[in-house]
Amino acid sequence: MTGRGTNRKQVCENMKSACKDVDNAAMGTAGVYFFHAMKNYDMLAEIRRHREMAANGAADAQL
Amino acid sequence: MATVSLKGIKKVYDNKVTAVQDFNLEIADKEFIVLVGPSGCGKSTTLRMVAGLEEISGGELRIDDTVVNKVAPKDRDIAMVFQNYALYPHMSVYDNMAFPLKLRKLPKNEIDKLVRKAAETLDITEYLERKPKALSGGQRQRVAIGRAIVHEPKVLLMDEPLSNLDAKLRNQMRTEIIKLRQQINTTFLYVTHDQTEAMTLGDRIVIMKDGFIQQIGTPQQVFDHPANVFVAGFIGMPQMNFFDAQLLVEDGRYGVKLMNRVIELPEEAQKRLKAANTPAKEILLGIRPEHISVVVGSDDGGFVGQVDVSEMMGSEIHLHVNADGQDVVLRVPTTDLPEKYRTGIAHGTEVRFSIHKDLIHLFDKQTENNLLPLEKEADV
Repeated sequence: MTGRGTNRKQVCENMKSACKDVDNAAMGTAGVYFFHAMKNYDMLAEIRRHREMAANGAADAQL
Repeated sequence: MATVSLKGIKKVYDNKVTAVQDFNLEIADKEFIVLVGPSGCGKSTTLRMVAGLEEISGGELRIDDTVVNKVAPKDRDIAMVFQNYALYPHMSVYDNMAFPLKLRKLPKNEIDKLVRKAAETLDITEYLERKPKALSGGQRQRVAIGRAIVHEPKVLLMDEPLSNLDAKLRNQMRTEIIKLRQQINTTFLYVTHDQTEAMTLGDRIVIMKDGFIQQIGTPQQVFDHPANVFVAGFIGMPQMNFFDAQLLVEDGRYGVKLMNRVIELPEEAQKRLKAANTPAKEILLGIRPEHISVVVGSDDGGFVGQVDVSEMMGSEIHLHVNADGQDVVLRVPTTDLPEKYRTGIAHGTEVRFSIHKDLIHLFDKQTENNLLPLEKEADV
């Protein structure tokens, strides 16, 4: 989530793109998940948390 | 500040799942309404429909006198606080709070004045130059609230804003929200699954289950006169006790048979059951743990049971008692107990208890509705 944005559309797009980055990271982690199930459980939870945060950020930018 | 009117609101998702059905609620100007219910009951979906983040499948939503079903979120003049703060990570606290004002094209000096005023209200002035990642959970949620109140929205929506905080901070922030409510003139719509938050914050509470409203009322009304078994069990901690019982009618007088004892009902209940021509039948009897008293030092009267578990809570003990094969929970202030029992009561100890018959609740076994509902629901 390092993108810039100063208007409604940019910030909204920025947060949506953060969602995609988080999704991609989750896909990567899912592969590893089979081998390190317990170890990566927290990581997946963290990724889900970040994704939701980014999605809500995109929603907030619409208000 | 504004009134909000939801008439027959419905939400059906593309996969045909119905999240909210026939939602009717009139919210008065500056009222604090809390939507409460278990996960998946449709409370957040309702909130997001008011925000405009979810399309409304049916019904009519008005903010003041304007129908806003098709109005874009940005044109509804509302703000929302999310559970996970949803701050913009690339902006400082100041920029996060200034963002909604910049979008409204306010002059720079006006933006500065409003941001600093909101920061002062929430006691976050010293963090204005920091980025969100350099703040604690509580501080982030204050910033999120600051970003929401800075443009003085007509309606402030809050979606489980305290759920990510630890218990101590949550209590502290709850008090802050009560104070905030006294300082800003806006209408609040607050979603939570925590009944303590609902009871302490709301002017009125809307209790939801499976997309339907179960009851609307003031905290006292929903506590004293729950509309059905679900509301009775959801509100109150520990949960209300429910027992299978029989409603009896003899010579026009009503009584309840519980654990082989007959309890005569108070006069008010007699009148109302008679007026409704209620027949004798199997019922569910509800009684809150705090409305059962331990009878100490007497062999006579009351019900008898054996202690299963004794939970010491400090100022009170939660006793789980087995009586006639039914689990009864009692909430007993330690000061009501003899000295030897104040640290807990051993498993197997025989206890006698009595039920406050004025405070029992009678529910129909089939419909689970209260046989003595509140006669006039709270409404605006």
